[in-house]
Amino acid sequence: MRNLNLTSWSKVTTTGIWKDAKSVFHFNENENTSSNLKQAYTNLNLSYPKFFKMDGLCKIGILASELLFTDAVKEKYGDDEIALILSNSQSSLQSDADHVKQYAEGTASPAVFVYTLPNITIGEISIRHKLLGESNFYIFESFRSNQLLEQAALLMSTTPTKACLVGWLEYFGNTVEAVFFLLEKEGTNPATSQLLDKIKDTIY
Amino acid sequence: MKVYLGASGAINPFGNSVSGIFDAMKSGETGVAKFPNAFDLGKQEFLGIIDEKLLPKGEVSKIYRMLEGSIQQTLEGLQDTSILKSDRTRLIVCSTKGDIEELEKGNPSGANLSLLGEHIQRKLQMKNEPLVVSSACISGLLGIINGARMIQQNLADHVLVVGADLVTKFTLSGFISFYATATGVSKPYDADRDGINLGEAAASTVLSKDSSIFKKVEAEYLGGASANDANHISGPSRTGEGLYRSVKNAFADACLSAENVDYISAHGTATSFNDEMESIAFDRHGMSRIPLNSFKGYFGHTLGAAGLIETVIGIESLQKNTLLKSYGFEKQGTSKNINVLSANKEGSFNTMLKTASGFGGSNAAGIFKKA
Repeated sequence: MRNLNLTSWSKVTTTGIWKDAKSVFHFNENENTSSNLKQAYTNLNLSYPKFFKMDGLCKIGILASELLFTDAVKEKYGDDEIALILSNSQSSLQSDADHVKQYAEGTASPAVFVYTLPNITIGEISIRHKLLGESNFYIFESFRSNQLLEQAALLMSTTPTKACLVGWLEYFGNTVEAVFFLLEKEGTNPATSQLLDKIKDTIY
Repeated sequence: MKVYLGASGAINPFGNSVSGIFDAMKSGETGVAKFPNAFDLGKQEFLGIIDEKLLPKGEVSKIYRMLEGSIQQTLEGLQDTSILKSDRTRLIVCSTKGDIEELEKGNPSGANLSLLGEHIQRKLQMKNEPLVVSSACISGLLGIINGARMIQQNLADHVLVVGADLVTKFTLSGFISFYATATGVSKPYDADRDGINLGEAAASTVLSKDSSIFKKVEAEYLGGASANDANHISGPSRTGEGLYRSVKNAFADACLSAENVDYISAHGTATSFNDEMESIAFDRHGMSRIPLNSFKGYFGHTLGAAGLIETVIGIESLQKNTLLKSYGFEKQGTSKNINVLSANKEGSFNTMLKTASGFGGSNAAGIFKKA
């Protein structure tokens, strides 16, 4: 199996957004998550109105991937050479609960229901960055850097994949967390399980 | 390295064995039935619901009874079930919503998808942590592709792939809100198709580098791929780009081309857009003459289990030298010509292309050869 390099990472939490350990945006602790995410959207100059239709899980996925898929990265690879492997433990729990509430009241709506699948985040990121490569969404009991690295290496060895975004993201109740890692063949920073765990666990 | 597939099990409204299900389908029955006020949603729906009498007793939730019923068949298909306990054996579990009814009951932790994996791992005393795949309606096929790649790259010697999804108020109310459900038994690819039937199923199969672990090898896995449309989260691409690329990359992986395919077991949900998209993708590959069917009119769209149960029934079809008519199809209803089977067809068929597409722009294709 191939050794991969961690070339960049990003993080969205309840307190702010980081890229490669540098603060990108601090959330206002007096504001709720939803308005903080909106502020982050403005601050990052996204100009992508679809963002406002998305559920929270997709919003943090879009923000975290935006920092990694720079033009320089996207120009390096063909549209089927970047793979996406995302994971979490609670699937689309927030939208699931919203949908349950709606259908219990007899008002189920496609706008909520469509987000009751975790891989919709992969769809939204793929649309945003025109990625047509391999992808998969895994549910783990808790963060499994070893599994993410193994699956990324597997795609690099068996498919056209040359770069892979692997990540963990949760959005429900008070939990807001996205930690995304860009793995590439070229680089000088070997992606190890310990390194990914450390980035996930460090409070910046 | 060769990857063999065998010891398949399945449960759906027709029964609890792959051959039993195939025989019922061959006789022209449908397992989809009318429910006048389905899940108290105030609407008549046509659904593929599994009767409890087909399921083993014991487990508290229906999805666990379904999984147990399917896995029981898989155990019977292995020469020696101790291979499951080997540290070289992996477990892949495929589902979109698992036991989602627990969420409605106020028990979100009971609805957590990782429970399905832990449950099976514990029951079968498997060593490795399960990999739970939740990639909408391609989950089952993606699970097979994922498992086969793990064997090819020597991460595992054997992989047990299981999949299951239920018909629930959760999913049905959502599809109704999309106006996506059919007014009768669904009619994939037909001019008068008007939507899907939801169905429930569990299926299981074993992939292995070693053909001797099976009482009977059913097929060889030749290659597979997935691709995203990057177009829309709930509507398929107008050009079928993601499906086109999945098939293209699966052919490259298998070192095969369209002329090597004897049969396409397609996705065919019977929504207007999906079936049209598939016809465009297959036409772009010059596959318009290859016999094709969808199983959705027989037992509904089984979501995360679909790619898995349809693969094992498709392989049974190769084994029995009989391609099944695409239930509900009468007249061509896609802009591009595809060879939808309007009657059962006997002959010698060796190689199957299996495809699946789903929400999130997801698409997958796998190629299998009869053993």
